[in-house]
Amino acid sequence: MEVTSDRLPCGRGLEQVWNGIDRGPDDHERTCPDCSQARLTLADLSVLTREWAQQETSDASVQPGGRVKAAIMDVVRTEFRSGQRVPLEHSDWGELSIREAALAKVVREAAQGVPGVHPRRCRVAELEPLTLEVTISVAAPVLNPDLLSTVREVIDGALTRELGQSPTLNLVVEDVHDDH
Amino acid sequence: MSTENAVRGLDRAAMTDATLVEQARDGDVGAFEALVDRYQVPIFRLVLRIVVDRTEAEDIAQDALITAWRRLDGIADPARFRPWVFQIASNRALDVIRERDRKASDSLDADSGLHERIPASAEPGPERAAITQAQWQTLSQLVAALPPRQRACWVLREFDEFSYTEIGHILHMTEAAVRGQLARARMALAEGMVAWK
Repeated sequence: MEVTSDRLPCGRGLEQVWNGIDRGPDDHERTCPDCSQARLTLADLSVLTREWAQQETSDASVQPGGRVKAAIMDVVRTEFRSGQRVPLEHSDWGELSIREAALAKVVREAAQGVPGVHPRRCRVAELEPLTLEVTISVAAPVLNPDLLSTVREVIDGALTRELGQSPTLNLVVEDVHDDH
Repeated sequence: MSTENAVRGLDRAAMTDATLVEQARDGDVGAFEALVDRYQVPIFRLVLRIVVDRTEAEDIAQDALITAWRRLDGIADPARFRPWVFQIASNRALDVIRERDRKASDSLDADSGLHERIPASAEPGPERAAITQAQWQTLSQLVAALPPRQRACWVLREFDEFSYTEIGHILHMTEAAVRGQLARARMALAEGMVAWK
């Protein structure tokens, strides 16, 4: 059977035949020689393909060498963008400041101390007064009205401890994830 | 993972792609590393199926994930990281094949390498006695002989289980074109297996 398009000579699409492999032949396929032959050949392929995909999933040998991840992370660390500098306070020694990324790290580490909370982004929305926009994803079972104030308190506590100041916090629940 | 880590929310494996992408955009290198851990193997396997060369597949997987890092701010929907990074990787793989074919046609040595490149497939374990070594080799050779775009469609569908719509998006094709390519790929493979019997 020469197949140059995705249609058999009888007019039926190959996709339709393929989709019906796992059930018995329908009325047309029972009597149509093109379809019967196509079903036989495709059924073998279907089994073989599934076995191949399953085998590969469980085969640890088909994976990239360690150099791949090492090279990726080298570039990532080298190019790591530390973001703008955020002024913290003015003193006799001049202005203290912190990089936005470092600020975000303090916020993230604090927020992820609350069970079920996955911190996402922390952005400086305003410098004067210092205002942070923090987005989080929350596990469905722990989502309740008290949660936001808990997260807010924990972040505020960490910022006060680490930076000596308490910025305005815009906290946004951006997503709800399944609890694992 | 320790219980302490779970309580502190450090279990990156439990985080969604969207969360990791947002953290990485925020400058969290560890979050991007978790995405690399999650996707380097599936991307490598996808690319290996398309280019059928281990070293090239490693290079392409590496480049694709570095590109992903550099363009991280450009993903409109962070939850779509998987199809997005598969798109980067599969198009790069197709580019590499195009370049390879161009070079091959420039030289008289057009037939070189294909036979050596083929045994990229998984070796069947002893428990898979029903399917012989020869059948695996035949199928992997038939797959390697498909036109590259057809091969990419087939791999994205059968191994990575993307929908037709997603494959169309990844390979910049209409859904109808994906359906056509897949049907032709399956028939070519099926007929190749019949001829081999």
